[in-house]
Amino acid sequence: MVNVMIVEDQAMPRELFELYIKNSDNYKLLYSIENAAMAEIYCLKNAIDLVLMDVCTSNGTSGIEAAIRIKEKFPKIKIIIVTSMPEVSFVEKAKKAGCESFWYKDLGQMKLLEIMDQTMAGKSIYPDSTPVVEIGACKSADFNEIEIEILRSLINGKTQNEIAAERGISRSGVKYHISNMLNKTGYDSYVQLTIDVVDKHLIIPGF
Amino acid sequence: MENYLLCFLIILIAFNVFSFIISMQWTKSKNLISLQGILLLLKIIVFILIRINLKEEIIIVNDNMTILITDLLLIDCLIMIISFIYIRKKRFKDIGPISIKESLDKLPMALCYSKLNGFPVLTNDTMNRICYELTGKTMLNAERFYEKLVENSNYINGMWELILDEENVYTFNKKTIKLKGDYFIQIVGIPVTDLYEMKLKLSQENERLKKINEELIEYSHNVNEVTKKEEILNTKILIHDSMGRILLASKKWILDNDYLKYEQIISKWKEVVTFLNSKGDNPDENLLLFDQLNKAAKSIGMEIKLIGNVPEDERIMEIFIAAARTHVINAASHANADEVNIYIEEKKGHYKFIFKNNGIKPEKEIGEGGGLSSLRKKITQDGGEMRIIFRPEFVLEIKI
Repeated sequence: MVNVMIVEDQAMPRELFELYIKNSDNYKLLYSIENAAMAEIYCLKNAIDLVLMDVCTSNGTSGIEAAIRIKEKFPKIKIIIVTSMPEVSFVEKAKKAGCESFWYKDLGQMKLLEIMDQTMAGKSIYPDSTPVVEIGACKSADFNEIEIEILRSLINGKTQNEIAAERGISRSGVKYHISNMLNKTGYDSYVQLTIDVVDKHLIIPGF
Repeated sequence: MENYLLCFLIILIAFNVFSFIISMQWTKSKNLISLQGILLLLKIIVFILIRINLKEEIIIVNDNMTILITDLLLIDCLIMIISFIYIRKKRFKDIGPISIKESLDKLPMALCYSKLNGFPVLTNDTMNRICYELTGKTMLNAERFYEKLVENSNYINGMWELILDEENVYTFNKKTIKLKGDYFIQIVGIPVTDLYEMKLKLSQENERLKKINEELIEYSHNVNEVTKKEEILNTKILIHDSMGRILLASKKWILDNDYLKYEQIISKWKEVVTFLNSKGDNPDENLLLFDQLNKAAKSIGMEIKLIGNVPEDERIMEIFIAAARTHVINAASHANADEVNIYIEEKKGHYKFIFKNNGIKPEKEIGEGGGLSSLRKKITQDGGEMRIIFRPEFVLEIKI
């Protein structure tokens, strides 16, 4: 029997996962919590084998950061990152954290259990790519890495001068990348662009 | 003969004088002016000699000399004509005082040179116009003008910025210069209207961008809440769809009377009913952060005893919880503790947190691991202090 801990701040998806696990013969639900910051404590003396970890949990705590801490202390605990956000950086961050699998929530019962089974069997299930969303006149896959990082800094409230200093480029360089993105999307201003990006969850502020 | 010569001499002298005056005005060539002067003097001397001759009191100039003088005067005439043409041509190449004044008047900048007592020596039209707008008079005293200018200007980057109107903005500076042994005051006004307009626009644009940044930050704080609500809506949609399917399946089951599918149908109905009974909110949502920590500690058999009140300020609460969490983990991992004591002191918004635990005491000083290092960084960034004591027992102390 595999002992599972669910870390999910929203009651409805959490109860759905709980129901799937309760209805399964292979899994036993040990704990179901909403704040990833507390996950490490539960792992200390409880025999948890598998964690279903949401990324954006309560109080803005990051499930991926919690996963890094858990993996450092308890490398044998397997972690499946679950999220519905097409945030471009989550997949890469989850891999770097050492999480075994990554699942985009579609709330289909069989699929979650299938991924849990394969993960416990030693496989690592990751999506081939992040979901592509439309941003203005282009798709999210049309942005390059630097453009995504600049967008992320803008969304987190940094000024163009701060971004330039951070990245070691000139302000004109920052403006150049912003201009490219505006050309791709057809937006008139970077404000429209950032709002659409956040709306579509391509970049989550603070994560 | 001498009378004709005298008349000719008078005409030449007059022309020479005219030429001499023109030379003074039109050319800086001292040699030319000197030559003109010498020729004039010679002519005057010859005139006097011939006058004396006419009186026949003293014979100075004889007939041969008269012919010679006539020849020389003709040559002189030729020289005069050539030098006049030369001077006229040179006039367009040499810059005289009038040229200088004309050029200065055409400049867009304002210029004024005055003596040390303020008496203006050279003022261009632009400066006069500015002086008139400022004082109601043209430049009479440069020092008094400058005092008036300073009263009506803003001091920016070492210059005085005078805004006459939207289309006339100047920056002024004043200095003393030395020219050919004399001291003069130089006042220069540079037109910066375009620059001023751009500066205003830039300032307005920066204000607008600052406001947008603040709105973006506000939006980013709210968007997580919106995202969560979207997730709930998606789940509800799924349940609605599931209900639709189970109703259809149930209808078919009733009509087909297929007993074998009974268990499946019931299982699905249980799922749907579970969700319909769900309140849809997070049962722990209203649990305070500290309560969540307490619940987590209890799951590993640890009790947290709190003496004092948890902070209400969100930022300080975040630091407190991070510290408490780190201490619980370390106490459980290294000291095998089952009790953590937290003391909170608050005075005028300043907090002091002290964390202690039972269990195994450290035998020696322990280096700060990842948890304590991250905690220290977080506290220091927020302007707080962290102290770790190892003897006689492990104590974590935080001031913020």
